[in-house]
Amino acid sequence: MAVHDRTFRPYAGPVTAPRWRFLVVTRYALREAFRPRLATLLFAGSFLIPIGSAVFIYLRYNLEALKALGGNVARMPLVDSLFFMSIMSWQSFAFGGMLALVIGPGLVSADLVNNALPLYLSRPLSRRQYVLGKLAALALPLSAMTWAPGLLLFGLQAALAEKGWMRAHAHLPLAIIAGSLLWILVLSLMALASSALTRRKLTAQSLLVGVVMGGAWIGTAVNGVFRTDWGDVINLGELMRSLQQGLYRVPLFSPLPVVAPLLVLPVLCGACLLILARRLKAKEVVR
Amino acid sequence: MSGSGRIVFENVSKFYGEVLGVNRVTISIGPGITGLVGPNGSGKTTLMNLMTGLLRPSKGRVEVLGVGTDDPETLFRMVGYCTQYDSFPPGVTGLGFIASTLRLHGLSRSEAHERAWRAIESAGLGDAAGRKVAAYSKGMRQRIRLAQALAHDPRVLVLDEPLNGLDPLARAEAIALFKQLAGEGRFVVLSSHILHEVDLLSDQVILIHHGHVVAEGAIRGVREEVTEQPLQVSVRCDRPSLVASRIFEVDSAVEARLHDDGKGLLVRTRDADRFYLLLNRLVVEHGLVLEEVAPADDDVHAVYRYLIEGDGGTS
Repeated sequence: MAVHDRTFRPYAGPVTAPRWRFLVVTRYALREAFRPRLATLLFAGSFLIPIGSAVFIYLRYNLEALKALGGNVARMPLVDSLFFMSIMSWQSFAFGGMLALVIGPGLVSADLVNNALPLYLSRPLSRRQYVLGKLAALALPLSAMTWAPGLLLFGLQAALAEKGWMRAHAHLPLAIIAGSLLWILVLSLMALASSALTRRKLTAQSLLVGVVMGGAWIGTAVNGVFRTDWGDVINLGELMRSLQQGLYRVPLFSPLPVVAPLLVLPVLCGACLLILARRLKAKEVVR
Repeated sequence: MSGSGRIVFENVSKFYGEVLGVNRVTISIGPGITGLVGPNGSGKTTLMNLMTGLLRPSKGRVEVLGVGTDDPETLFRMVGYCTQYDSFPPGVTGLGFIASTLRLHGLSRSEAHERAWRAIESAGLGDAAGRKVAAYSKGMRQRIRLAQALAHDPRVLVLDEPLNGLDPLARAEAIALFKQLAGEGRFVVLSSHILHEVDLLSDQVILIHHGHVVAEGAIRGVREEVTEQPLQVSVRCDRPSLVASRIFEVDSAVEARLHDDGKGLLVRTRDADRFYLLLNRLVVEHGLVLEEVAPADDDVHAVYRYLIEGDGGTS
């Protein structure tokens, strides 16, 4: 029987709070995600519309500057709920969707292909925290592209607009935040799930496009064949449009009631979480 | 569950669907070096993954120093795991790899970098710290994995095939390091296919076969338990034929085989103590000059052969 000195003393210094530990995963994931130039270009390019919109709002309330540029305020569209919904739609669906397509599918698949999950999970880090960390790596840049500039624009408009505008549009901050966050959640979960499911970035990207486009095509086909609007419940774009109309309180473009996305999107998120729970395991067992 | 100062498996089974991982394992591991020995697919890695909470048991319970393996926050403060898989997050440098794992342990940036440097230098990789791990040689990758397992000063080290890919010098350094860590009162649980290294290293061994723990304990004690296999004793002396002619006076003797050089013999006996008494008598009565008397099969290799390969022959 060996005799041991028991001289070992473990690290007893301060440690960061466990609830924020997932941000370590986020930090390293972000560094990897923005390694391709395309991701950085997309991210930078996404600010063109908010910057342009800020200039537009400024000019709308600065007649001298507008006149100097040869503009006419009468011909400028109103800054109202539809204005904000249009900007947020571009930011969320066009730029956000493209960025998620570029960086999302590589977030988990790279770790799965490299069998790196045991390395993460043999730390004080749970699978939930790992997913949260990866989710945040997508949610943070998407937030910077969507609700953050949206709120700034709202603040600018509220500061410059005539009395009563803010009261009339008090629902907009919530609409901007809730609409963006819900889209970010759905998009991020779908990107992570496709990444976990296929283990190859290109395949995951194809799957993600396939789910969004395929859903739209099938939904349209169902609508055409059965002469109904309910085929749109599998059309992600239509679901989000319906939700946004409810949040921004604009006239209905989408035939779907607001309750449709509220029922379908949680199911979609649940399915993505189920895929992640089944695919992200510390040890893969080859039978 | 008793044994809060030990690693305890209590009636643990793990099934992968219908495939058996480990079955009804009940073991208690103390400080020092414990070698897990068994053929490929015997359940060594499963046992290690259960110990580190990367797998959950289908039945039973695992505790590491009184902490359940479903509590990673507490468990991995105490445990460092070096997996056998040659895998890393993509694009990571050696220093970045260790620093990031330390950040996951909750260390501040400066503390993590300081410790990462220390760990990387102790692994002899100071010059390669800024290079990508993907560009490392196999031995370097093995060393960086060892370094990451040690960097946060864990009390329990679980090392799956830790000597794989290391050159002889690095192996010797690693073995010395494991002994030093065990000497500090830490738990070092390692698996290896190289039995003489396990023999050299381990304070105790756990033999696994087809998911069952076949034997556990100090290797000599395990060998003594294998009563159906006669003990082999190598005797070097001036008159081996005399010993051979008298050996069967002891009814527990099974076989005597003279060495080719005529200066010794190998004896197989079911009662080593009675054989040693006979030797004493021969020395006193016949002036037998003994050069060496040594057990020939109380090492891991022999125990492995008897218990796992089912070999009953002499070496």
